[in-house]
Amino acid sequence: MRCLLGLWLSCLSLLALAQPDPFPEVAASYRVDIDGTPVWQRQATRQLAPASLTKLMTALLVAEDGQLDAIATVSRAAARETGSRAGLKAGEKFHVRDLLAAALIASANDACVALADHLAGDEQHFVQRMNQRAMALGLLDTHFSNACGHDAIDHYSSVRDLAQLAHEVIKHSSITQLAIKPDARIATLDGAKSYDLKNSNALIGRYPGALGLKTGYTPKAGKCLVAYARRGNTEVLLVMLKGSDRWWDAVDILDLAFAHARNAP
Amino acid sequence: MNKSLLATFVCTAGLLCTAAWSAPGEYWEITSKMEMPGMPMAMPATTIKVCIAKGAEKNPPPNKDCETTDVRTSGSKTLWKVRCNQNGEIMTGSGEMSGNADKSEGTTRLTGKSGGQNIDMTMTYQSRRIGGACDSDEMMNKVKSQMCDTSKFTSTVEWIGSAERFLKDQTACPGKKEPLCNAVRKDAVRDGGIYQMLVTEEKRNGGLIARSCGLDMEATTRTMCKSLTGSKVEAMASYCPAEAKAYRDAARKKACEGRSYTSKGDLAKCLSGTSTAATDDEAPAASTRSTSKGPSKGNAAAPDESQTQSGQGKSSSAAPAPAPTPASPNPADAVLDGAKKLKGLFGL
Repeated sequence: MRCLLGLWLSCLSLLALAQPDPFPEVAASYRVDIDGTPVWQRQATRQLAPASLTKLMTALLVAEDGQLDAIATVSRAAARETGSRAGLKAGEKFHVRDLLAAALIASANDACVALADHLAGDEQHFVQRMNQRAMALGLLDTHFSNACGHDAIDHYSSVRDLAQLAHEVIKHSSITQLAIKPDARIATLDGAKSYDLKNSNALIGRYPGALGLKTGYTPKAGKCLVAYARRGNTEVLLVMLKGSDRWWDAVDILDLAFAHARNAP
Repeated sequence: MNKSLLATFVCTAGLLCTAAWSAPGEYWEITSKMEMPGMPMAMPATTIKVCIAKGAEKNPPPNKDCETTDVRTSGSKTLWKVRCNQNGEIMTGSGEMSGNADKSEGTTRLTGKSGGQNIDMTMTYQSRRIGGACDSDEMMNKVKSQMCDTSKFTSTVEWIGSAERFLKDQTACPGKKEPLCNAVRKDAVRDGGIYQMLVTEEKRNGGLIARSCGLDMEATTRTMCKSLTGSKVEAMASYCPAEAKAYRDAARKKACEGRSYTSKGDLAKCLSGTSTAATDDEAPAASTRSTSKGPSKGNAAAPDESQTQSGQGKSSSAAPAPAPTPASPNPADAVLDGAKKLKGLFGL
């Protein structure tokens, strides 16, 4: 069994090596898929901090749970979240789909933890579910230690795994419909407070064909991005970890990928 | 373009092969017309003089890519079915012709795929016997020698365009493989246009040239990409992503550095394509959140994506998102658009 697994892993590594790396300077690690097939990549299995790209797994579990109209209460722990946040207050109640919107569109950590609390009782149990789902998806280079993407030694992923996760995520319209919004407004259940969300993905509304999907940043992870775009029948997915010039590079690489899809040998 | 090429191919091949039937024969004049729905303009009728073996005018015209079956003759009328396979693309149809010793007319209908497109075409023809003895073998040899004549070739484009004829059946035009391969090897690595034509032709013929000439297409692509300079890189972006990316980066740098800024930060803004010197998700301070509960975070920095602010009642503030230049489908345009956008961003 170990031999087989080893052989399989070797094959995967060889396949990973087989893809050209035309953009060695754009990121520590990146991968470009055209219509689900990897065409360019760099260090695709390298384990790196994924920052808020982590929230793709959180969003996937929320979408798979399917209870988007359920009501979730923001816990104190969620309200204390740092980094990117919507500013939710402890005790406020929201529909799950609104918290998902905040976590995806504005990458709000408070909304993200509120979702984790809602689905699994607390973040710790939710993280267990995240890791179980990662295992089920065959994400061999991934381990989560929190729901939202805080830097930690045992919190890592690879562009290969994140691409696979992204392909799973985009099967869910409840996620893609949110990821494509340049901005949104959510309100507490009683309507007393509303929160405006601005999409952290600068490609949305600017890059023709951009449909999502998630941005991320921490000091350790650097600038991260999962960009997803469609033109005609061609879909391009770009996953970038520790990018150098995220937005320009994404625009260039997406352009070149669409051109490649049209004419490449 | 594919349609007309295909039509010409079917038409010409059929008629020329008719001439090759067998010697001896007689001269006939054949007028044919091709109709294809969707063509921007009707194709004109063409008239040619060919040598047809005696008696062969009553049979369906053969074609090397087409198989004729179910041939039935009733009185002066002959009917048949036809199935053509051109590089795996199938077209099927039927034909009929009728006539006598001095004239005949007929129709062939074909539907199917060619060049990835759906084709529906009808070819009609009328023929009349001019008379005069001829040798159809001799005529075929003449046609063949014309088909194999490369003395007027002035460009590798013509070699590539003839590759199928020269390489598929090398006995048809012997001695053409080497000059064709040499021309392709020499020019495809240094001329983007030739390379593009080679790639297009190889897609159509299943890699015939590379296979026949032992051409490493990846190495050819690499060498060709390295030979590109200036705006030619953009034109070949779909084949040379690394070079195109470097070209774009350099173009942006040039566009940014060509302006006068009051601070280094402004140049950084320009180069990063953002409306702020740093990205919107600037690094947050180390997390101060409690670590007593749940998963380990330690002093982990918090993932910080934007400065979306809480609403008090109907709050509506949010930090500006970074503003990459919207790219147009044409990479060359993207660079120009980029420069324009940068001007707009900084009021230049």
